[in-house]
Amino acid sequence: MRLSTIAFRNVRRHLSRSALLLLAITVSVGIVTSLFLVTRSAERDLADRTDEYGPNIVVVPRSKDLPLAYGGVELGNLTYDVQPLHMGDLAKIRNIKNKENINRVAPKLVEVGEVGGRRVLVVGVQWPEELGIKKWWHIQGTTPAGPDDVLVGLNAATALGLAPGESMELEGEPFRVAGVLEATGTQEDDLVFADLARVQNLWQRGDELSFIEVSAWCSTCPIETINAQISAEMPYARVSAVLKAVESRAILIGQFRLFSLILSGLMVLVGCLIVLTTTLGGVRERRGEIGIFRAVGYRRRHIFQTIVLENLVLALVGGSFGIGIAVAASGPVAKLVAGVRQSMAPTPAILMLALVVSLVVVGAASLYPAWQASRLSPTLAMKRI
Amino acid sequence: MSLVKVDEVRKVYGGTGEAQVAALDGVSLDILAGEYVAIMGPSGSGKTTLLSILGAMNPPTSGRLLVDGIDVYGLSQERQADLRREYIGFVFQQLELVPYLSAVENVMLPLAILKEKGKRERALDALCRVGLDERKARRLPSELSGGEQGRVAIARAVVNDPPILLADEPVGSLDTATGRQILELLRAQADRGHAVIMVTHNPESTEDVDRVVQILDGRVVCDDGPPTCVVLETPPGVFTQT
Repeated sequence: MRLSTIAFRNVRRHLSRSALLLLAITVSVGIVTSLFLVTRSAERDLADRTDEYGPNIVVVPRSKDLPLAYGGVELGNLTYDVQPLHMGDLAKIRNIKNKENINRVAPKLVEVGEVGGRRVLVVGVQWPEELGIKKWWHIQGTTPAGPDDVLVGLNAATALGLAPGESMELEGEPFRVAGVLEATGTQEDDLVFADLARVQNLWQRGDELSFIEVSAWCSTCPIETINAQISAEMPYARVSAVLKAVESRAILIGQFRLFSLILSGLMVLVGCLIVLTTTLGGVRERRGEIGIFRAVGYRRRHIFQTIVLENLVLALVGGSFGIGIAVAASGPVAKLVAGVRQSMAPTPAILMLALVVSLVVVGAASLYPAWQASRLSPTLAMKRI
Repeated sequence: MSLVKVDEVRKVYGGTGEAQVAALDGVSLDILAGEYVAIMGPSGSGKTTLLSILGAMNPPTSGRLLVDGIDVYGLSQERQADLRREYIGFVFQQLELVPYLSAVENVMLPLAILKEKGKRERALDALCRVGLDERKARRLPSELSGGEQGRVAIARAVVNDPPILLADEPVGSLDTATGRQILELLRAQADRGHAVIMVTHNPESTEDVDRVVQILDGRVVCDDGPPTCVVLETPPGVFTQT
């Protein structure tokens, strides 16, 4: 027989107290672990949704600028030594080391065209990529899909007198207005979007591109890393993070994380208090028994170890139950509460960490009652004193 | 040389001034190995306080307790615990068996903290010496009779072969026949060379003892063999030496 035998037997003997502690530990560990798993999935989902909502990286041709002035008159900047981007660059972006973080790569070619005698900025895009990156677009009419379709910004449509379903000519070529963009409040309201290949053809630009917008998932890899990897692949281009998008994402996720941390902290605190008070009650109830242990020669540390060990046994069982419940429930809860599309499966390392944390927290909550028990006098075995 | 030496022990409870109560007032005793001693006295006379001091559980206000020449209360609390384990076995008034441990596990209680093999065999041997077989050893205390529980308590007290056995009213809560068995077992332990010190208020329990120490108001009023210390009828519970 060892101290652990006494701890195990005592847990079995005081069934109602052990059951209460077990329940408290199971519920606390279950809720905190669920919260952690739900938060993790929700964070990732939120991060991905934020990342998908517009580009967070812009790749533009590297060039040199020279500010010009003549006779004291500012003439603006002279841009020279421009190294244009090409279609081949799309594959380079998609093949960086962290290629699994690349969500959308949306290339663009910007040209000045003429519609009905009016000059207008025309942007060549790849429809699936562009529509995937611009989730805020609301289109009156139909979604453009083919090479003959154009999408017209609201201001441009008004100025050119175009409506969804109508035909138009761009640089002498026939196109169909698939849809008109609802007001975005940005420069997009003044643009005409057309198929990239048609625009490259019409303006005889080969496979040239004006710039590339990239939407990357940054939850598993910082945007700076992705930036650096694209820069390394394309030293002739200037790669910039869209800081506003990155900052917004960080703020949103930070708030979500803080909320779940506070909630987890409260749950841990409540769990600790239950363990503390129940164990203290148990120690009070077992004063005579502890007195006997002390009388037959148990040192203070033996009593301390026995009390902590009893709670660790319960923490191991309750923690395992709680983690099991959390694993089973976190997926549906994440979907129900946070609308998470795809829950992240917990890794064995996370589950092991949850169990270790349960043991450490329950062990810590047991320290004071165990210390109190270890200070009890052996004379308690002789009740008449 | 005495195995246990109580030297001018005084124990005062309470605060200061008139609130203080002297449970023991200058008690001195010498107890030899193999001696069977009964400490008698009426309720509140200080006999249980003396037993707790003898058991290295309750430091005296002044005076010394020497066990095998060791100044017990000069030791740290942890060393006092070690001394209790090595030198002293206890038989408590209510026997105080741990209800969720089997008989053999109760006997193994003082050994549980030791890192040695053969603990179960030693416990079974101790149970065998008090007349309990292996079948009974597996039972919980609640499944044993009062006499069997008493035997388990004595087996627990002697399992690590301590030179001193302390018994606090060991037959107080038992029927006459069971009480008789327990007293015989205590006598047997003394015959094996243990110093057995028993606190009792029942003169019938002292029939087999070698020596009776009678205490009144915290003082030893009689210390001799059983024939010379008798109980006075009036006032009840007061002793004198004939």
